[in-house]
Order: sequence, then C-alpha cells, then structure tokens
Amino acid sequence: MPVFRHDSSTRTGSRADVGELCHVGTALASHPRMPTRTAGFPACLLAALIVFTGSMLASVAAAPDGGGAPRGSSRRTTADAPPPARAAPTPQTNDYAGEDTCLVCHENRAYTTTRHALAAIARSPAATRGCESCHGPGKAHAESGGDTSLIVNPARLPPQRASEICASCHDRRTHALWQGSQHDSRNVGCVSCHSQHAPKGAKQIKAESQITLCATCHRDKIAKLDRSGHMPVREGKMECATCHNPHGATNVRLLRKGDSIAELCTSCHADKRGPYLWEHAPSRDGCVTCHDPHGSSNERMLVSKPPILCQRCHVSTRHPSTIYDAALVGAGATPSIRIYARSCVTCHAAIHGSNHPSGQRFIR
Amino acid sequence: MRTVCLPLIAILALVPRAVLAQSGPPPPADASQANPAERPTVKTSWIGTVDFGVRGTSANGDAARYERYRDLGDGLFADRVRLSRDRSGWLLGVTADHAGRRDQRYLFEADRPGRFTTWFLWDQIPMLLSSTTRTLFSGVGSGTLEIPDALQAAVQANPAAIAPVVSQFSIQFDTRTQRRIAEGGFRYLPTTALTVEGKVRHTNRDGEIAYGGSFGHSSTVELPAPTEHQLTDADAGAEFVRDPVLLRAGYVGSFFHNDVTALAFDNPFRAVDSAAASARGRVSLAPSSSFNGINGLASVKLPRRSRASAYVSAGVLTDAGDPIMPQTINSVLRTAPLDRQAVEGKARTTGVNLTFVSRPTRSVDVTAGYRQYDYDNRTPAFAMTERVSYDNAVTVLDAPVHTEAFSVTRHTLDGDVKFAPRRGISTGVGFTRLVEDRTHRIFEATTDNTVRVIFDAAGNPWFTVRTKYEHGQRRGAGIDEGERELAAIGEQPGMRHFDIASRDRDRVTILGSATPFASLGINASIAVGKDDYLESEFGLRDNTHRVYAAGINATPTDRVVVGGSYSFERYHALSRSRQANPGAQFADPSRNWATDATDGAHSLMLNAEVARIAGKIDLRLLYDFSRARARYDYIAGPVADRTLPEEVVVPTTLPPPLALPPTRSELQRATLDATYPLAARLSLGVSYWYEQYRVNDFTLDVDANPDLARGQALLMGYLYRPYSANTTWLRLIYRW
Repeated sequence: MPVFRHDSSTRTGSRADVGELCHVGTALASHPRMPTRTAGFPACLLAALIVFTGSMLASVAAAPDGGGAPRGSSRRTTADAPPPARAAPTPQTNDYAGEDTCLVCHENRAYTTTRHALAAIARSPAATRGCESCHGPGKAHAESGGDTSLIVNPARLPPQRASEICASCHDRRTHALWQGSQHDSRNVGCVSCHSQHAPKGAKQIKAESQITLCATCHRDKIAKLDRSGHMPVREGKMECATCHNPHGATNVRLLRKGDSIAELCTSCHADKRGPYLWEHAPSRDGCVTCHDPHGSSNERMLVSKPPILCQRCHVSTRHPSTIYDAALVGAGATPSIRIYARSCVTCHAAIHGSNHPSGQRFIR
Repeated sequence: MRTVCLPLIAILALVPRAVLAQSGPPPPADASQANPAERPTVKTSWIGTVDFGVRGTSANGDAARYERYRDLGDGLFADRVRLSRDRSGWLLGVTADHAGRRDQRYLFEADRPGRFTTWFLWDQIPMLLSSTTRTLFSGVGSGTLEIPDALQAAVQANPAAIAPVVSQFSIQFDTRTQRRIAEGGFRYLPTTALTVEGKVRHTNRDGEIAYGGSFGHSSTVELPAPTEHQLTDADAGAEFVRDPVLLRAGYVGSFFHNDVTALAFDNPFRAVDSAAASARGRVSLAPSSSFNGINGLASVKLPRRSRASAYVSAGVLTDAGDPIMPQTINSVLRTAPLDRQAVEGKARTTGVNLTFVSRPTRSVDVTAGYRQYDYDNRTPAFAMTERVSYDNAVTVLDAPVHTEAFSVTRHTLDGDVKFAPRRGISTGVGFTRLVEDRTHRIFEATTDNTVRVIFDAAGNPWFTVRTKYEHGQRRGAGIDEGERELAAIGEQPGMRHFDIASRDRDRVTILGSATPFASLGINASIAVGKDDYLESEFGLRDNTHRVYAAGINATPTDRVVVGGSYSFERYHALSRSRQANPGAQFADPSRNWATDATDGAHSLMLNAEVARIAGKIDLRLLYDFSRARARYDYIAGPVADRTLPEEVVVPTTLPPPLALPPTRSELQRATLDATYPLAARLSLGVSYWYEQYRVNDFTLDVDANPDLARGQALLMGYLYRPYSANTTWLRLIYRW
C-alpha cells in the first residue's frame, strides 16, 4: 500500500491554480479590479452579469464534481448547522482561517499521509481548503479560542449529514450510488466505518481489517467464517468487499457484480453458469437456495446436510423419500451410500446442470 | 515442532551491523498494521517494510484442512513486503505476501494522483482438500481415468476382491485445486469530469476435485475429476460527471474455457462391456461459455437533496458450441441418435434499476425504486427419446422428454418513507413488492409483498440503536398445472419447492451499541425470524432463526486494548415427506414422516493488545472459538401443529426410525504476536498460532467411512478429520 504524502509546495501551487479556480465566483467577487462601488445601473448590471457568468462557467469547467460552490458553510457553523455541502450558502473567503492556523492547535489531526493530502487531485482538501474543506470555515472558531459550536465536526453530526460532506467529493465510481443505499438509509454513515484522522486499516477504515469492521454489526456473518465450510476470508484471500460494495450497488444485497445473486457467484464460479442442456432450476434461480456463502457446518457450504437438504424438495417415490436413519449411515448396520460420503451427489454429480444427452437426472 | 534454526541464525548473521547500530525511537511492530499517520514520509526514495524469517509447522491429524486455503510450510518466508516511492509525481507501490508460497500475492501500483493509475496483480489461492485421498485410477488430472484391465477383470470375477485390490494398488494423491490470478488495469482521468478505466483478469484453476462416476445404485464410484479452467474477465467503462449529472457506460466480458469438458473413466467393478453393465463411463463436465454485456447508468442530482438514478444492462450468455457427447460409451449398446449435435445454449439477460431518493427536509427521507431483472434462457428444447442411465442400458421412452430452459423475470418495487422527529432519531415504514415470472416451475408466478417498520437512533456519540420489523407474504399462482406436472414425474402433488412456495415471513432485528466512555464500547444484536410455508404439505414446512450477539471493546490505557464478542445462532427447519413406492403407498398418509433439523453455533472471539511492555515489547493475543452442533430428528407420522387443514391425519404405519447421531464441529484458534525493537529500523518478532479442530459427522467422519471400498462402493477417502496444529514464526521486520 503506497504511503501518500502531503507535499506542501505542490499544495500551495495547486491551491492557487485549482483551489481558487473552484471558488472563482467568490474570488471574482472580491477581486480588486472588480467594481466595488455603484457605478450606475448599466455598469452594476454588467458587473453582476460578469460575476454570475464567470462563476457558472468556472464552476462547470473546473469543478469535476460539478460543485461550483465552495465547500464550507456560512457563518452558521454550529454543530447542528448543515454540513458544508456545495448547496450551502456561499461563504466568504475571509471566513477561512487556513490550514496552518488549524494545525497550531490540531497538529495531531493532520491528514498528511492520506490521499486527502495529494494536491494533484483537484478535488482533494489539499487542493482546495485544507482542513476547512470538510470542517467548513474555521476563522470564527479559531478566533474564539476553539469554540466547538463554531466549527463542523462530522463525527458529531447525524450520519447522513456527515456523509453529505464526504459525498460532496466522493460521489463517483464505487460511491456513486451511496445516497439511498442500504447503509445510508439505515443511518450508517461514512464516519461510522471510516476515520479520516485515526484510521487503523486500508481505505481508512476504523478497524485493522474488513472482517473486524463489518463484524461490528454483522457478527453472525463473520462467525460463519469459522465453520467447516467457508470462503477463504479468514485466510486473507478474500474480504467482505470482494463480493459486496458497502457504498451502494445496482445488484441486490449490495453485491458488487452482476444483476442477480447467481451472476455474482458465477463471476468466479463460471463453471456453474451453463447454460446447460438440463438445468437444475434452483441453481439457476439463486445459488443461496442450497448454499450459504458466508459459511456453514456442512460440506460445500450447503445450508443443510444431504440427503436431508435434497429431501426438502424431492419427495418422489422410492429412494428420494426414504428415511435415512441411523441404520443406514456409514457406521450403521446397513450403510447406504445415499447418506454417507457424498450422499446424493455421489450419483447425481452434475447437480448444477448437465450437457449429457441423458442428463435429465444429473447422473451423467 | 520442525522449526528450522540454522536458516534463522544465518539470517541474523546477515543483518548489517550498521542497521543494528542505528538508534532512535522503536518502530511500530508492523508498519503495515500501524497507524498510517505514523508511517515514515521519506521523500522520493523507497520506503516500506519487509517481514522475513523462518517458520515451522506441526500438525497432527488433518493437516490439509489446516492449510486448506494457505501455505504454512516449513522453512524461510518473506511476507508483508510493503514498498512505496514518490518519484516525479508518481506514487509507486509494491506489495508482496507469502512470497514463493502457494498462496503468494504480488501487487504493483503506479499512481499519478488525479490523472492516471495502473496496477498489476498476481494472486494464488490454493484449495487443499485432502492429502490422504487414494485412487485406483491412473491419469489423474486428464480427461481419461484408467484402471489396469487385470484389476478390473479380477474384481469382475470376484467383487469381494475390490477391497484387497484397493488396498494394494491404490495410489495416494492430493485432492486440491489452485487458482492463479493475473490482473492488470488502469484508470485514466483525461479531464476532471471524465474517468476511463479498464481491467483484464485471467484466472487459471487446475487440480482435481471429487466427483461422482457411478454405474448404478449398487455400483457407486468417486472420481478425481480434472479441473482445468481458464476464465478471462474484461471490464471497461467510462464515467462522466458534470454537475448535476453523472453518466456511466460499461462493458463486461467473461470468457470461460474448460480444457476438459468430458471425462471418461473405467469401471473398477467390470472389465467387459455388456448390455446391462459398462466397463467404462463418461460424464459431461462444465461447458465452456462466454458472457458479453453492456450497461449504463445515469444519475442526476435534484433540488432538496434528491437524486434520481437509472441503470440498464443487457448481456448474452452463450456456450462455446461444444458437441453433445454420444448417449453412451458402452460399446455393446447402440447409440441412440441425438436430437441435435450441439447444446446451442444461449441466454439473454437484461436489468433495469430506477431509484429516486429525496430528503426534502432534514426530517423526511423518501426512497423509491423499481428493479427488473430478466434471465431469458433461449436454449432450444432437446428431445430425449431414449435414456441411457449410467452407461448401462438403453431405455426407450414412451414419449420424448424435453429439456426445460428455465427463465425468470423479476419485478421489484420498493418504497420507504422515514421521519426524523428529533435529531438522530428516525422512524419509517417501507414496502416491497416482488413479482417473479418463471418458466418450467410449479409456480410460474409468485408475488411477495413485504412491509417493514424501522426505528433508528444514531448520530450521537453515546449510543446507537437500529431496529427493524418486517412481515412478508409470498403467494404463488397457477399451482393446478404445477401439481399435474409433479404427479407426472412421480412427485407428491402436495410438495412445494421452498424457494418459490407460498410463505409468510416475520423478522425482527435489533442492533445496538453504546459508548459510555471514550475508552469503552459495547454492542449487542438480536435477530429472530420465521418462515412459514403455509401451503406445503410436503417439502420444507417452516424455517426459523435466532441470532444473539454481544461484544465489548475497551482501551483502559493508551497502551492496552482488549475486546471480546460472543454470538449464538440457532436455525431450525421442519420438512415433511412420505416414504412410498409407486402404487397404493403413494397416497397413503400413514407413511408420512418429517425431519426436524436444528443447527446451532456458539462463537467467541477475544483479543488483547499491549504495547511497550517493559518499554519495548508489543504483544497481541487473539482467540477464536466456534462450536457448531446439528441434530436431524426424524418424526414418523404427523407433526403436531404443522399439518394443513385439508390434510388427513392418521397414525403412522412406518417403523420407528433410529435417531441420527448429532453432528459437531469445533474450531479453536489462538495466535500470539510479539515484537521487540532491535534498532530504529529493525524489529524482532515471534508469532505462534495454534488451531484445534474436532468433528463428529455421520456422513463424512472416519467412523462413517472406515474403508475406501465397501461392497459395491469405491470412494477416494475425502473425510472430515480432526487436527491440532501449530505454527511458529521467528521474524525480522525491517523498515526503510
């Protein structure tokens, strides 16, 4: 994992070039060459038109997130105030204290080792307002000696409001569908899982691993990783986000790929996707009919043990409806291969589907 | 313990004195685990860590299960290599894990922040199922498995000879597969509004898995089937964002090739083909196939914190056109003509996803969505006029049996409204309607209506509570035709496939956490629910679950972190059946029986970290315990309170079944990591892992499978076996 560093010289340059360009509307409004006194109606109108047009053009051209307005809220910078989203009222440039001022008191809260410190990223805090990109204008807070009611602290905001701050930049690619996603709608916000200033794991999560983090709420799913049948998650070859996108997805259950559960599973287990001549209906409808992808005590992560699992659907005459009791198990008096070892799939091996011309019963 | 000492001594001797002589503050135990804020920030030169040393593993019992997805072999190791460099505006990163081992992983990244990123990944995922499996077959790994003719002849002449033949001539082999993944990709931002990205991933999986190759009910055979899979995935996409619009277009390609799509194998019980028994068998394995799809997403921000999104996708899944194999490999049997020569498998998929989210005020939250997914299987029906079962005999069918190309279309309508009467408090209601249309299933249409109520308290630093109750009703339509089809194939007409059966569902989840002090966190959760398949005379009748969990984390001092969590799960399922042969028994309710299945698990996780013991030693302890038990209780006759109103309840005529023994599996894991700084850039570490697995399973443990050959069954010996194992690392951690 690369260690990202904050290059102060680059940041300064970027601020002048990009950061202020983002806020060109505000900048133009206070530009020394702009009229500051009433110069008659036409001149005033012209000036206003120039300012407005310049602001709009610059916003569209320079703000990749479309956010022409600067991040940071107006003087209503109390903890209950709306977060500094782009829709907030345009703050004045002289509301900002500057990052150097912040670091006088908050030196240990620096973000210099994260991507936020990369000024080359046009929308990063380093390229825009530094600390105040997320915390809003801090001049009043600084001048008050640290009045916490005059600064935005995302950690103390309701989750959805805090997320609006993050989403003012993180609104693309894997984050594009955050708003209204399962986590967002249940008041799980960005800062519920991520920490900007005290991360413990990759992607600035609050735990050392995704397993630990997700276990905070999904303890039952993580517990299944210790079952006899499990994915290689606890061994570190997969992680929760291999299958799920916790930030929102077009598939069900926040699945990262495909448009159905089966499509997600067969993105790796393509040997099961067919299309087959003879199809086993439940495997086409959804793998989780028979398998628990988080782990189970049964072989191949089956939700129950064959033949009992198969007998949930197959009640036909002869052997499918037989009671396979203790006399028939491997250690019983009359052992039957239909219950010990591979049970039903000893014969019905092609259980996901068959291309054999006589494969109706998945024997061949 | 087979820890090798000499290599360690050699490594220690190679450590430069200059390094040892350096002074300064002790480094973190493992920089990759350390707080990133504490990482070094050396400019323009390589920085990072490497972890290397020697390792020894000792295992009693099933060592393969201990190393199922990993390689913990003895000897030298190089692990957790993390290197990065800032060079001319490029951030370069190199990662290596388990170098030289079967589970090795390497990643190279080059990042021009805000402009271009590229990476290459090499990853290996082993799956070692057994190192004690044995087989009579030669040619393991190929598409042809053979047994010497003389052995076949000996067993054909004397079936009881299979046991000594297996004992004398079977060979040991590892049942394992290995995935090797190579992935390369890039992401390019030509402008701040446009992102173009692409990725190609190739997965090679080879090895052997156990597979069924039986020759009839009384001649069951387990095979080491080859797995020679090549899967290439290609993703490409572009995303354009200009406020308030986001547009995305993408392509997804997935190309699967199986090098061995058919497996031929000798019959260990027979040397010569006959009209009733084959000396060889042949099965079809996974077909090669390809999927090509395109997708697009448009999302627009609207006033009042609103957003509308539309996603569409379309794809085509086709098989590779491999020919259908002949009906049988038995040389004595005539080969019935095939309806056609190739599978001609084809399916079209389409997806539509429309969502609207709005928070018009701080106290109102509205979400609405519509999803449609269509799997349209266009594989032509194939007529089977004659059946050859197990390559043994030809059965001329009274009427052709046609394949059934399953298709499904799902329409989902979602709506949720939430209110937040106070800051951090929200309550809401929601509704989901899922309508599914299928082909060739007993219910060709089902409708599932679910209502839910939520109450959340979140957003304050002291506690959060999230609760949800949902009630769902699924009902099917068109069962009359379904019952006729069930009867036609010998199934009980009252049977319902549980994945589509009519069902009432109730679920409650409560999740809470509290942080009374900054140094203490407590969490707990409860999830209970029941699925009642209220019209299922046979099949799954009900399904319940109860999950309780609690955890605590504490940081009593800035040097100590302790935590623990416990969960208990209990799943219960009742399914019903009728033991019957064709004829009068088929309709005899006195032959009804049920399975009452209970699956429970206890799980405990403990962790403790102590930093700077005696000023220098960092210590970490982890302990996991998991115990799962399952019972499958047979009930002959009717089940109280679980019969349907229209059912005829009569006393059973079945003999009382012998109770199955319960199954149990128990896993304990303990790990200890300690590091001691030798110098500013060098630390000495010791790690110790202990694992113990205990299992009793009436289907797969040693007691159930004492021999590879039993009667007319020949297996490979894949078993659930207990183990206890430990691994010790002696490591040096060097930081640049």
